[in-house]
Amino acid sequence: MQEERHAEHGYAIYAITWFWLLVITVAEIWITLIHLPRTLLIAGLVGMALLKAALIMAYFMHLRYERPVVAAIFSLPIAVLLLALFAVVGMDALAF
Amino acid sequence: MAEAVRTLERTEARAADVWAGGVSPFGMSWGKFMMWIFLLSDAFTFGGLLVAYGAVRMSSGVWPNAAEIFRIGFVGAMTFILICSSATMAVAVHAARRGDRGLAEAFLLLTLLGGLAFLGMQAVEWTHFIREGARLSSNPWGVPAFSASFFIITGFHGGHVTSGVLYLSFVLLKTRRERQMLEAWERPLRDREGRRIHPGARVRLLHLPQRPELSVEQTYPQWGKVVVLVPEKGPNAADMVPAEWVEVVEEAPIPPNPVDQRAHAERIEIAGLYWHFVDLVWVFVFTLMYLIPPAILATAPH
Repeated sequence: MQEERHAEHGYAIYAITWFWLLVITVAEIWITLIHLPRTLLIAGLVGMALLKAALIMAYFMHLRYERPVVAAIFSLPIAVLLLALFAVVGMDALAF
Repeated sequence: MAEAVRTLERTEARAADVWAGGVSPFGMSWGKFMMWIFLLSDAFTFGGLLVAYGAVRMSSGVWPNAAEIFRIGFVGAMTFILICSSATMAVAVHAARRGDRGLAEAFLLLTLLGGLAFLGMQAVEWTHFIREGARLSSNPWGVPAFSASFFIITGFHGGHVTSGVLYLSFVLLKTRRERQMLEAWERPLRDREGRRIHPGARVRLLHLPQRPELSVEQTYPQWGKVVVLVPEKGPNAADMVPAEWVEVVEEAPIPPNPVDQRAHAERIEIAGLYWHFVDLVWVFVFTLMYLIPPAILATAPH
């Protein structure tokens, strides 16, 4: 059963996740202070935001311990929605 | 009968194939699954708002520099508090699953305090921004969409934090009440001879020995009080009396455990999913609204 497997690990995983979330947050603020080219900066910020989201979903929301299909039913529709919105609205915005 | 059992077995086997979770879809309870579905719909709303914000920013050309208008250190502290409250929530969920009720309750309270601190700081942040001259439809930096998108998106997120604080308060109250019920069940009141006073026991009142036997309706060990039915006053009439007035004539059978450990763990886990989601959304709000610098700066006229 999923739940028994999950109950085996201790509290340490939450402390480790918490620590890395804080490290990435500090890195996010730091990267805006050094003078990077704007495209590189945005790529770095978005990449770190996605990394934080993945950490929260995998360990705090236990997606790593659910069936893989659960992560898919949550992530795929969001990805499709964002792509569709960018395709429609984003092109419009760039055309200005 | 055998036919019905075979049909049921076939249905269950098919359900297991389709959902990969036996007879429950995706191997999780319906409550947890419905929370995931709700969070998906909520993610759509936030996704729509953030994409609209991005589109407005791109089409606007100029945009004020958030790093100069907001205090990034202060917002960083808000982010820090929200991450901490998410971590304490994760510990509360884990403790509830392990059956450590005391730890779960303490960490739920910490999470709640983190949420309140975040809301307080957001109020300070909004006040600061409004004092600078920002309004929903205008601001001194000349790009009305700047303050409009800020108030709408951080306001919508703050509304979620507020709902979360209310949600966690209810879960915390329920957890506390269950702990009291459990304590009452584990350490029942006793009379002078040490006989257990449970609901259903037949008792006499020591100072009114001439009165007929009464039936115990409810006990409150935390206050040392017993509620007895008083039929001569009416069909549902009851009196609350101190436990030391009571003498048990006939003990009631030990009642079943009044709290459901599984339901308790799951209630906290589902609340946890919502709370982590609020933290998850803030990751993107923080990055997109505060950190990404504008391509072309709009500045205040002063």
